[in-house]
Amino acid sequence: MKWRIRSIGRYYDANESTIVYFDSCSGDTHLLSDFAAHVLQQFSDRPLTTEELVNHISQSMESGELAVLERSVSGVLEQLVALDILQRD
Amino acid sequence: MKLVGDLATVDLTNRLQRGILALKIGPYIYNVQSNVPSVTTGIARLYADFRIANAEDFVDFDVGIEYTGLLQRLRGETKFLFDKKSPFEPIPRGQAYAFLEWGMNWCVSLHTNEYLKLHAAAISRNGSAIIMPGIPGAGKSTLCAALGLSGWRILSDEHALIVPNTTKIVPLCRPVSLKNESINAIRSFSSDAVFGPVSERTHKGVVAHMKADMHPHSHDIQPLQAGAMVFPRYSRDEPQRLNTRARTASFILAAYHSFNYSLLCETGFEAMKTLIANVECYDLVYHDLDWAVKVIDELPLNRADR
Repeated sequence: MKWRIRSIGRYYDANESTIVYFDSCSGDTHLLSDFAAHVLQQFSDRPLTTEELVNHISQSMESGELAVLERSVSGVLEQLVALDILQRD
Repeated sequence: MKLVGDLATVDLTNRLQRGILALKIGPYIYNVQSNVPSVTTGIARLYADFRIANAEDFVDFDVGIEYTGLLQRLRGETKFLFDKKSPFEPIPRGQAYAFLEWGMNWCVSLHTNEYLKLHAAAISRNGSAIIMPGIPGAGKSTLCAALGLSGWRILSDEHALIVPNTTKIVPLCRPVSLKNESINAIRSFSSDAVFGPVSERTHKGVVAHMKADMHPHSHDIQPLQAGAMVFPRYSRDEPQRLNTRARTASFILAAYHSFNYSLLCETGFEAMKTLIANVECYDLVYHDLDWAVKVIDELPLNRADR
């Protein structure tokens, strides 16, 4: 199963631990953790499976435990779906 | 240009009754009509230094507070009029002046979207402005009034009008709305405060408006650069403090305090982004006005000062 972003949104990144995300589809504005925003940005080109997503992110991060990363990504995906920012493809 | 204060009382009363008193207020022109004596008193006292528009000028908002018939007059009820229509329930005579001011706020809150509008007080000094957003009761009007009485220029007590994709604030100086304990707090703070009619038993309690145009440049209409955004909060019990706020969290809070951020969609987001990225943001908790004014006095507003 793949995940798809609902709209190409806009970001405000002030180099803090949180980032403002504007969802062009709903018109809602969200305060996301920088990790959640990083996850979201992976979807800008195409829908991804959870495995593809974890793979993408692990490449851009310093080495860490894959299981921890998978758990973190799953939690963020749940949040982004609950916020209606992501949907199942 | 003629000022309201140049009119004899009889002329002012006559103009208000006939609905031919058009006032220049910031970027807008309000035409005001009223046959209620307390409204005439309030306009005479609080708008004395406002310019009267020319007869041929375009009127943005046509407002009034009127007794509309004998029965209404006997009941002591008035109506707020907007474009000669009454959008609200009748208003007790004793609250007429407060409702005129609130109605004038409502005109801007609902009907203008050329600016990003924040529910905020705004003040300036030496050409730099501070935006102070806050929910009703946060203490922003009280602080705004105290700052106005301490040499700051009041740009607005209610609406910070931001030119999109800039940090410029368009002045919209009108009387400051004070409620309940704030009225005596400001009377004690300075004997220079000039008040209009007191409206009792409104849905917000006792309300009185204070003359806001005390600065030599109060009626200039040029936009001013914002240097800071301060979120004030009155608290009797907490320690007074000024803390720097994160910009992203300030963005969300400022959007919450906006009248039209959501309506403007991407334009609103970009306007807020530009504003927040270029001002310093603070939380201010206070209970002593002298302390709060001193803290605001010492804020660095120009980029070179920071």
